[in-house]
Amino acid sequence: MSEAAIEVRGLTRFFGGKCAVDQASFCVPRGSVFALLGRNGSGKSTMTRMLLGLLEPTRGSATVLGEDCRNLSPATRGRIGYVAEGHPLIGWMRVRDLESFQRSFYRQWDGRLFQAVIDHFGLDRKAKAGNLSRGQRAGLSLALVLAARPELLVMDDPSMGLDPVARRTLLEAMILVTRDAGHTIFFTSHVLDDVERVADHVAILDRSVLRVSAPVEVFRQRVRRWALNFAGPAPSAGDIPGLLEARRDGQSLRLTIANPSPQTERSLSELGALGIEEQPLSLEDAVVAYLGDRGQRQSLLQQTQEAGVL
Amino acid sequence: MRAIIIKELRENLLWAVLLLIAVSAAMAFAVHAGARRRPVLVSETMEMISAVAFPVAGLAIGLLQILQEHRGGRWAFLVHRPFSRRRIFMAKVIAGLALYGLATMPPLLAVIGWVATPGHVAAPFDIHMVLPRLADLLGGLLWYATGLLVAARQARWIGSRLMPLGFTLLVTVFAWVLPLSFWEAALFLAAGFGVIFPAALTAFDAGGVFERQPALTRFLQGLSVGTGIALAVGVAAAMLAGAIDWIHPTDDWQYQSYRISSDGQPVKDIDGRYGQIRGADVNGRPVVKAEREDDYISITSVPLQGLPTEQSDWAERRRAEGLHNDMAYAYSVEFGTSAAWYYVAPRRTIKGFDEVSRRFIGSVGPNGFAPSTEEPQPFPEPLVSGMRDFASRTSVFHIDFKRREIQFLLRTTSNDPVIAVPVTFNTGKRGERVLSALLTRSTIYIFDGATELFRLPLEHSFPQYQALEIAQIRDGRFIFHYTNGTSTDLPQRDWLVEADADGHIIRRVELPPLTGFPRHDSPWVEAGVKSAISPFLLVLGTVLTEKYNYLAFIMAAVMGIVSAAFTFWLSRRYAMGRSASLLWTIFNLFAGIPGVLTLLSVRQLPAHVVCPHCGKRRVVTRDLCEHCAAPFSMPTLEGIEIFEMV
Repeated sequence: MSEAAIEVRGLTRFFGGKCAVDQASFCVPRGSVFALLGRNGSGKSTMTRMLLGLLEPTRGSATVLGEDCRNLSPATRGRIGYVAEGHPLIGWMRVRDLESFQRSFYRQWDGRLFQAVIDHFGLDRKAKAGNLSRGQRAGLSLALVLAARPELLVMDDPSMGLDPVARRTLLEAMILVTRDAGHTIFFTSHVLDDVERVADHVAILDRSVLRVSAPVEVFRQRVRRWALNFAGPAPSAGDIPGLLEARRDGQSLRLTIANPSPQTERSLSELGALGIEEQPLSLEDAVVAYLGDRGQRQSLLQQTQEAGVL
Repeated sequence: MRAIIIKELRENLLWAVLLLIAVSAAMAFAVHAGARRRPVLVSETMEMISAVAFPVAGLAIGLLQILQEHRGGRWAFLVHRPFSRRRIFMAKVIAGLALYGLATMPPLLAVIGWVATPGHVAAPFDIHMVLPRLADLLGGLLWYATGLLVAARQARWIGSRLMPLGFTLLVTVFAWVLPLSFWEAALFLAAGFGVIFPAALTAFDAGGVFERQPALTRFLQGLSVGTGIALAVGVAAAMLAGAIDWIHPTDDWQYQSYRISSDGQPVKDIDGRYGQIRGADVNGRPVVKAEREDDYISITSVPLQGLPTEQSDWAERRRAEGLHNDMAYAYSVEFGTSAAWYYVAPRRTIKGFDEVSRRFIGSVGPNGFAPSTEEPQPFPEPLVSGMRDFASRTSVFHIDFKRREIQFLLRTTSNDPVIAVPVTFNTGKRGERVLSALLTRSTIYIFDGATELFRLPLEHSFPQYQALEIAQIRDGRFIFHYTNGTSTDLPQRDWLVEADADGHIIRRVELPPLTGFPRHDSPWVEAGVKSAISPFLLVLGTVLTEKYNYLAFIMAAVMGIVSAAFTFWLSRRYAMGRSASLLWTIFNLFAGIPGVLTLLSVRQLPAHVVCPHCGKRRVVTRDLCEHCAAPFSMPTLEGIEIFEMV
C-alpha cells in the first residue's frame, strides 16, 4: 500500500485562458491532517474537485488512495468522505431522510457515530436540511460523511461562514476522525487558527502556484521574522533572498523571510540597523506573509499619515 | 439505486403533478373541441395537443432531473458516493419514466376510457385509434432523453446547449409524417432514442465533458448537436434568402395554366409576381383577361394515379393510411340525418350513430343495412368516399343513408380497376343537374345520378398525365383536359378532348406547352441556401432529383473546400492528432458550415500560451509543445518555496 493517501504530480487546470492551478505537485501522507491554504481564487477548490474526479485536470495527474483521480472506482469513492464548500445538501430532506439516503450506499454505516455528531451539533432529526443554519448544515454534512467511516476525509473550506462555536465543534469532530490510525484528512481553509490547531502538514497555493508543501513544524522553522531598528527612518529592505514581507513603521523595519541562510544574516547586517532581533512568528503570520503581496509595505497607519489623511 | 429512485420521485413529484394537470386540461379541451361527435382520439385538436403535450412533459422532466443537481453544488453530493454515475443515471431514468407516466398516462387512459364507453361520443371507437396517441407517448420519451442530454452536456445556454432539440424535432417530425404503421413510428423513435439516450448517459457519466466520453457516444452527441445546428443554419439561410428576395425581387417567375372559357376555348393564364399579366389562346394570340368568373367554366380535376388505397407508391399510401391521418381510422361520410355515419377504415365497415343518444344504431355493408344487434358487415375491399358515392378497387356504389339502401353503379374487374372516386362536375348552367364522372384504368363513365349517360376510353394515363379535368359547357359539349399539372417537368403536352352531349368525340387538340414554371428564388440564392446547410445534401439532392444545376455544384464545392480548410486550421488550434484532424476535415468537406459549428460546439477550444522555447502559441492540454516538443517550464521560483516531500 502506498504511503501517500494523495499523490499529485504536475496537476494543472485552466478555465478558458486563466490558469487556476499551475503544475502543482505534493503528497498527502496517510494518517496526516493536511491543510491546503490560499486566498480566494487561488485554486484550492479547483484542486479539491480535481482530486475527487469532479473536475477534469487540463494536465498532470493525481492518485487518491492509489487510484487515478480521473477514474475513481465506486469502491474507492466509498473510502473517501467529502464535505463540499458551502455544505450542499438536499434541502427538502429531513435530517433522518438524509441519514437514510446516505446509509443505503454504505455497508459500514455507523449510526451511533452519526447520532453522536448530530447530537453534538444539536440537530433535530425532524428538521429539514434547507431550514438549518450554516453551522448546523456543516455539522450534518460532517455527520453524513463521518458515519460512513471514510479512510480519507476531504473537506473544502468546512468552516467558511461558521461562528466560533460552530467552528470549534467542527474541529472537535474532525479530531474525532484522526483518532483512528491511518485515517487522513485533507482540507482547505481560510481560518488559520483552525489549521494551527489540527493540521500537521500544510500546503500554500499562491495565485495558482504551489509555494509550500511541508509538515507544519518544518514550515514554521523555515519562515522567520526579524525586527530591525534604525537611528533614522527605516531604509528599504533591498533584495534579500526569500523575502516574503517587509513592513516599515517609522524607524523600525520588520522582515519575514523564508528559507533563511547565512547569506540572509549577512544581508540583514548590511542594512546598518542599530539592533536586529528575531521575533516569534505564529503559523497565521507566516501564512499571511505568503498570501499577502510580496515585497515591501508600510503599515496602513504610516501610509495614511504620509498621505495626509490622518 | 432504490434510494436515488425514491429521492427523484419525491423531488420531482410536484412538477409531475403540475404537468399532469396541464396535460389533463389540454386533453379535456381536445375532447370538448370534438363536440362529442367526431372520433375524439384522432381529431385534429387531439393530434395537435398530444403532439405538443407529451414532448413538453418529457422534456421538462428530463431537464428538471439534471438541472436541479447543478444547483448549489449538489452535483458533488450526488455523485461522490460508492455508486457508479451510470447507475445513478439509470436510477434517475427509472424514476423519470415513472414521473413521465404519471404526468401523461392518466389523462390519456381517461380519454380512451371515455370515448370507448358507448353513449359518450356519437362516433365509432376502434382500438387502432389509440395507436397514434401511443406513438406520441413514445415520442415524449425521446424528448425526455433529450432533456437529460441538454442538461447534462457542458455547453453555454446561448451557445449550442439546445441544439440536440433540433435532432429530436426532426426525428419527431419524421415519426409523425412518414410512418404507415405504429411500428414504423416506434422504429423511427427507437432509432432517435438510440442516438440520444447513450449520448445522455455518457454525458452524465463524464460530467458533461465531451472529450471524456467514448468515441461512439461522442459521435452520437455530435450527430444530435450537428443536426440541430444544420436546422438552425438552414432556417437562418432561408430567412436570409427571403430577405435578399425581398430587397432584390426576381421578377422572372411566372405561373402558367390553362383555363377553359365558357365557350369551350382553352386560354393560357400567365401569373407573375405582380398578379396576372397576360393571357393567350391556343395559338398564342393575346387575349384580354376576362373580368367575370362566369366567363370561365368551373372545372373538376380527377387525379389519375389511382385510388389512394390502391397505391403502391409509399408517399401516396401514407396520404391515405398514414399513422397520423384520421382517414386511416374513421371519418364521417354522412351527417345531418339525425344520425352520423362513419367509415371505419381498419374494419372496412360503415357505422351509424344516433346524434342524440350517441349510441350505435347499425351498419351499412355490401348486403345493405344491418341493425346494431347484428355484427357490422365489412366490405371486401377498402373504400374511398367521394362527394356522394363510394369506390373500391372493383366497385362503385351509392348509399342512401335516409333509406339505408346501397345501390351499385359499377362493378368492374381487377384488370380494369377503378382509379378515381366518383366526382361531380357542373354542367355550365347554374341550378341544373349535376353529373358525375367515374374512371377505371381504361374508361371514363359519365353518370346522371344512377344512370349511365355514356362512356369514353381513357386516352392518357398516369404517370405521363397527372389529372383529367372534366366539365360540360353551356352548349352541352363535354371537355376532357388531360394535364401534367404545373409543378412537373414532364415533357408531354396537354390534350383537350371534346365530346358532344351523347359522348361522341368531336375533336382532339394538343395544346401548346406550358413554360415558365414557378421559380421563387434566384438560382444563386437557392444554391447558396442549400450549400450553407450542407454541400453534401445539395449534391445528393441534385443527383436524386436529377435536376443538375452546375451553379449548385460549384457553390457546394466552394463551401465544402472552404469549410474543410477552416476545419484543418481549427484542428491545428485544437492540437488534434493526425487522424482526428483528417476525419474532421473530410467530414466538414461534406458537412460544410454546420460541421464547422458542430466541431466548435462539442469540443472546447483549449487555451493557448506562448512557448518559451519556440515562441509560438501552444495548447495547454498537451505535456509537450506541439511545435517544438518542449515540456512546460515550471512556475518561476521566488526563493520562498518550501517543499518537504514525505
